[in-house]
Amino acid sequence: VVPEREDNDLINRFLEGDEQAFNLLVRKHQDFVYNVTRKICGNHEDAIEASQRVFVKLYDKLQSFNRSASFRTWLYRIAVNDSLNLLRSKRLRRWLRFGDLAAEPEDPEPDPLDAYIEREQRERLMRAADRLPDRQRTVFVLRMTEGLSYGEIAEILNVSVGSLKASFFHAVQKIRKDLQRDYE
Amino acid sequence: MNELYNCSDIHGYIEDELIRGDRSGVSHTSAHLRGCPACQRYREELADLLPAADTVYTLPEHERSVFSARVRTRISGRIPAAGEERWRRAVVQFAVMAVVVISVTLYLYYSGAGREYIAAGYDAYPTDPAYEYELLYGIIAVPDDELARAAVGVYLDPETYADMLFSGVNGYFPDVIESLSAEDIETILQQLNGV
Repeated sequence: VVPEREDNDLINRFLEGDEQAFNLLVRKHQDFVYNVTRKICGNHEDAIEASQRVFVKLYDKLQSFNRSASFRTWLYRIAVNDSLNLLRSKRLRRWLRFGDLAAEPEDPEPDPLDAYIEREQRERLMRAADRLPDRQRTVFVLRMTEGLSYGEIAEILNVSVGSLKASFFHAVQKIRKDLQRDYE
Repeated sequence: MNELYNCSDIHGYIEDELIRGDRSGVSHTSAHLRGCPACQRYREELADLLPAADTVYTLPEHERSVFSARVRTRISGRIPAAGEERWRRAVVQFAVMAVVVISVTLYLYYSGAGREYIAAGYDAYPTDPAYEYELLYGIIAVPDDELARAAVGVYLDPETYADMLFSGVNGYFPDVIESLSAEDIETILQQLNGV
């Protein structure tokens, strides 16, 4: 079964009242959503929170999902927007606490030792990405790590392709500089 | 530099090739790259970053098993059942009505300057501290010996003395009237009518 068609079947079942179909939809896409939110939020706790919100929103909005669009693109859009909203509200809360920048909780994910160096490089890259402005980070994540086309990203973020290209180019330059500084 | 494609277009082709494995722009890219050091550098930089960029995060095992259940909990905690919704709406409507009624009552009670109130019996004695208060706020104090007359007046013309409902003596006058004989009431009526 084509994945997109499988999604549509589950959506139809859910809209006809089959709540179990929604659970299946969650299980099917939970890793995908977590991967996006994790890269944009930059840490596990926020990513879990954002991912949960994504699916709650999905539950509310499935009825209005336009079938002519790709479900995955739609899910991307919700995931990106919810992650950015969460980051904004966190920044606002921090600001209201007068800049009390408590350390982010440690990521509890266990990592195998034999992949230490590779993991180190990846983490360095993602840390550098975390330091980018929201827009640049989002475009970088969607383009570089998710491999989306500019057309798809434009659809998700509702912006022009031209501005996306510029954002991605600047993101790459900044990350390069950031990583070079790390090694120096 | 290739005249047909600007650097921005070429960047797109380079990215598509390196990130997505889409080689449809390779012929344009190679022609352009030969004369454009900036795009050559961009290609190298992007290629350097790529190995570290294929990070894919998956839910940790301990989260995976409970994730959908937590989503469910959030949804059910947020969306009340149909019956519960009706019950909640009724409570809210009642609360709003209660607030409106209490607010109006308090407003009428406390915005009484210039309106006539009746204070009856012991409240009307000049020695009672409330007496001054009542005079100050335009309350008509009715001493005991005038009480019967006032009671009959209120009974006959309740609209004029409607504010007495808020004076705390409601329920007192009917008792007074019941204690009066028919003769007393007749006398009072004659007084009230100026006979």
